[in-house]
Amino acid sequence: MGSWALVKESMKILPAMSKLFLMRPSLIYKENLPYLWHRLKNHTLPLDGIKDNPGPTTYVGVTDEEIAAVTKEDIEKATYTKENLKPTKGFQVNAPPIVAIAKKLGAFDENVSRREYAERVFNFVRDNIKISFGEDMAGPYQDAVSILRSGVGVCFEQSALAVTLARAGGIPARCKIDFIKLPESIAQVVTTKYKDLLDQSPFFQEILNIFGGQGGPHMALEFYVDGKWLCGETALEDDVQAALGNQLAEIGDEMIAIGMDSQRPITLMRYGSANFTIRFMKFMMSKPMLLLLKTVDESEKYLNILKADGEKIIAEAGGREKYKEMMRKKLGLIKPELPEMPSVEEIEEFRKRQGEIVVSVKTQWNSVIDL
Amino acid sequence: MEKGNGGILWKRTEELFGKPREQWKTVDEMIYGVDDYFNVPKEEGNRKREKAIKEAFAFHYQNNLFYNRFCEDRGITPEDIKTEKDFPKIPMMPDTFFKDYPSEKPKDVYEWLYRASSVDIGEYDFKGKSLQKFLEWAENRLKGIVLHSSGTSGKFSIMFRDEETYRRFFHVIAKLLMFHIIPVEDDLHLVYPGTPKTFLAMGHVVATASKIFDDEHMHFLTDRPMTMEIVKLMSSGQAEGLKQKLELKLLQKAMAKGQYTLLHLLEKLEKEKQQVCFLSFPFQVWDMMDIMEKEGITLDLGETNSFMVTAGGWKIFAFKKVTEDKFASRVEKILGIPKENYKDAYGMSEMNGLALSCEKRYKHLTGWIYPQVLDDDLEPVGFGEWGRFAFLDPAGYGYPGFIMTGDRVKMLEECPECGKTGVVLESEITRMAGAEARGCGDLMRHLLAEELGKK
Repeated sequence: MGSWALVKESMKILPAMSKLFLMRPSLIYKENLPYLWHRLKNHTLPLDGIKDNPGPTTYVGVTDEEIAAVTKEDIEKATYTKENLKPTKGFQVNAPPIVAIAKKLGAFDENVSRREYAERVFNFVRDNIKISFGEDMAGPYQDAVSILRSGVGVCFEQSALAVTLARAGGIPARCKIDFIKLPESIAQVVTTKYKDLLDQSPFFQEILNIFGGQGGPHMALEFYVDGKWLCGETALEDDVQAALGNQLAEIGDEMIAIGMDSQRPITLMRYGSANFTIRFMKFMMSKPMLLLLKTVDESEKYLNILKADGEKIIAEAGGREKYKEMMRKKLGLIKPELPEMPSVEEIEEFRKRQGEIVVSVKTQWNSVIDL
Repeated sequence: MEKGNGGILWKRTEELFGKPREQWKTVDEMIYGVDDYFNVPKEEGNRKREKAIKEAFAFHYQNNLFYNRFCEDRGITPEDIKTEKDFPKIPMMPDTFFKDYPSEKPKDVYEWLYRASSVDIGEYDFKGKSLQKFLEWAENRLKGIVLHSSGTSGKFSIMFRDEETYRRFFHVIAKLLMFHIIPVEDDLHLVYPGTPKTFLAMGHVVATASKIFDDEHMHFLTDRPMTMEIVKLMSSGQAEGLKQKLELKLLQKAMAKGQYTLLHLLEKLEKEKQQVCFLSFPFQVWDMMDIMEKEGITLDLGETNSFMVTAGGWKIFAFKKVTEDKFASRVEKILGIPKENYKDAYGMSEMNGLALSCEKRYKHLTGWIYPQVLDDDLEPVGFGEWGRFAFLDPAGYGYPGFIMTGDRVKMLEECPECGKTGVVLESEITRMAGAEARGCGDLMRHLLAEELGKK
């Protein structure tokens, strides 16, 4: 599959999304358009295009001093020419802030195995780049360096940053777009535990409707470690996962393993640069959002409630590892260990033996009757 | 309609799904020998159930090497199961077991079935590569029924019933529909908004149960096949070729057209004053009622004692879910079917019984099923607690019907509202977190939604 499959699957979302506009016209012209006008007047709306975000000058997870300490040799170490390693548009593999973080995570340390480095990169992005609809949904595509500045993003950008960091440490990496469908258990949690929030948020209702019903595209990453491609879901931060009653994400977990997909992943496309298709997708996703900016911004509030809940759940479990252990136990029990399936020969022998027992019991019984 | 030598529908039921009295085991006495499943004295019911489960456990222990080893690993033998108090010791298999076959190659599925089965399924003489065709072969071989799930996790659950279990299962379904909702006429029309040409769970069950009707009295939306390939294409996007895609398109067209055909059929049956048994999924009926409301169509099917049974839940569309009572009210308002003639059923491919809702919307389980609710450590919890649903079903003959599900339920010892007997489940049944999606309802809605959305 490729760009065409991706475009086709993405286009399927449009009728569902347009429901948000058509079913609730007053939501647009009464609430959202005045809000958009207010934002435009105050110049708070980011402009289009792939460029440095004019946000804060500091970067997430690294200090200015650490960036200044990056040497020419470090940059050279992080400069590759091979496919899935080299810097590409939007994936600034050898940019100083990227190299500084890569170095901090052990990219150039011989004592850190490739697997360990891959885990560290994954954990860094999962824990530091927060998913945020309000800040990011209607904005332009953020490249790897920009997202380090903003500290927030959606699956597009989170996976791109992780891929960039992995490449800086010499791990071949790429992004992928999967077609996912939320499982019923998510609808169950959301419609019971968060029913009030859902009732207040048409945006989340439609997201659930789309991703639970027909399904939709989602971006993830792949790292090439120890001879195989490992997938990863950096968008699924711990707090959200815990709030939804799911296992916490680790490198190597597919969506279905962490309760966020009801099917085996279907990969629509793999990519290693912010090419036209990717930017076009973000454009198509974000521009209609301008008409719903207030709704989207407000949805942030609900997401934060979810995150606060999840944080509490993890804390009550005794921390991240304890929560994971608890979930492992809970999920493991769904499928208890079953014995090995016996061979056909063993079954034949067993049935023959059982048959003899039955015959012998019958014979004894008959002899009793005879008596 | 009378039983015994009475109505033709019941005669057909007896012919197709009956069993001579001299062959009855204890569970058969509960299935074939009871007229009203929800009016069995508690003590008598419990006594028979205890005996039936002990018999079934001993049978599977003795005839199924795989299950025998499963029990031995847990140190349980039939001697350990003396009374109902010992039932929690009976090892239960997860419902995911039914997708544990090694591959979709017919030979592999056959061998898995051979090894997992408590009855001898005979030699493998299937010639072909298609799993769909193999299921057909297996069904004929077993003289029973084979169902598959929607396969949303990438693998189908395949559920096999031998002849003994098949007869019990369909006898229960027919009896529940004919004698536990409203008295039915021999002229009853069965309406199911799906296709009969499928092995997908509910569609295949309805199609098989409909054998008691003649062609004029059963109505399906389409007779285009919904093969495993099409189901796979719908649930996972995986298609082997253009052929499947084309078949899916045709099926979608037929189903969309069929939704309107169905409305016209219901109008026609109402006009002709026919009694209708309408089987469907809740969201499918809800969507149809949306269309009817939009187009200003109302019916009065209640006049002819028509009734409706839904099953399958709301799946991912849970946020659109309404209470069963509200649903029944809308059914009454738009279709004219009185609230008490609308029932929602809870069941699953592995269970040979159903929980049918009463007028107060509690789901009454049939008496031979020993239900349990388990906590996170798989320990039984008391009545009134939420947890994982598990059950011991002595009607399973070809396979041990001791199953742990992924459904979250709350169970009550008896119905707090109506006088019918049986353990009841509260109507809010959902999937446990982490449990995979199951059933075919979601798929059916998807099939209709794509085309209806364009109208």
